[in-house]
Amino acid sequence: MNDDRVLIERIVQGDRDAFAEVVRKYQGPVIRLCYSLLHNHQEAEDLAQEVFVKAFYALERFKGSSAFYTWLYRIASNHCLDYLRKKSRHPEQSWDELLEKRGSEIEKLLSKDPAAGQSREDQELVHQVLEHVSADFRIILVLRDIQGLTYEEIAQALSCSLDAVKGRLKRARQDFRDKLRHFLALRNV
Amino acid sequence: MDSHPEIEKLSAYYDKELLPGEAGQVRAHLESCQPCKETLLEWEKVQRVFLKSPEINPSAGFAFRVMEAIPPKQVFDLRDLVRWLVPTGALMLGAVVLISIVPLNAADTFVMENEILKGNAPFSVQENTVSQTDVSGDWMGLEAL
Repeated sequence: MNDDRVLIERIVQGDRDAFAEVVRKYQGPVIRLCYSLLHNHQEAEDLAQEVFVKAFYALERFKGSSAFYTWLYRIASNHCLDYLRKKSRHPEQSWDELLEKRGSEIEKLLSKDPAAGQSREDQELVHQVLEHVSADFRIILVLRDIQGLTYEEIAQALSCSLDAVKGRLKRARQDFRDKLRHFLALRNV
Repeated sequence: MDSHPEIEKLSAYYDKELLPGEAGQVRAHLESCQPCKETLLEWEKVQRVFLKSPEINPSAGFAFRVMEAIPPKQVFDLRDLVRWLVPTGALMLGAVVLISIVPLNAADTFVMENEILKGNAPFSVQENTVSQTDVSGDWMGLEAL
């Protein structure tokens, strides 16, 4: 992380190549974060590009009180949430309709070997299920379970307290589990 | 720990965010509690299926496109800021000084003109003013010659 501090100092002094280095270093995690929320590669790349441009102009305000990547994730999370709110995407069908039409596929997906990869159809189904999880819950689950951030890092990325992180994660997991309770219960029989 | 741990604590245990003592208590509870064990297994299942890291990578030239979106002159340089601030500051200071002097002189002139029009001009002004008598009469002192 000291490397980041050196890079940031160089950027503030006007070194453009240093910022290109930052982009190359974090492009993967930022695009994957955006993709985990949007499930569209092109949109994820467009948003990630805007995130880096925003970060560039905001860099002089970066005080270094948190790690650079959590600060970058904060910009990315806020940007994606704003985008989702503006688009106000509503799932094409209600949760009950989805369960009725694709319940058996969800059940199959849950019974698959976790080590096996997901087909395009599987990924599309995962996306449809995730659309029914609120954006606030989705972002915290993505930061924790996909990006692997600690509670402390999530608190920095979402500008909230540790208690808020614990509470929100608990509610997000319970909400998700409740939605899939029927299938999970079947699996446990 | 005989009673079930709070869900929030179970969630923190799942994330390995509990202190060693608390984690030990939850672990001991899980050894004899099937429902809590199932809750953890279900969270794990949901995570493995729905919260997998996406297998996508940035397309070629992504970093280049980002850099293209940032015009070169926009690169923040403290020296540029100083270069811009010094002349601007000097200009502003000059403007402030001018603004504070000019209106005072203008106000003095205005008051004086007003007084002259009313016929109350200060003595020095009246003394130097050519009177009607001077104009119509022997203002050059020719009669004395």
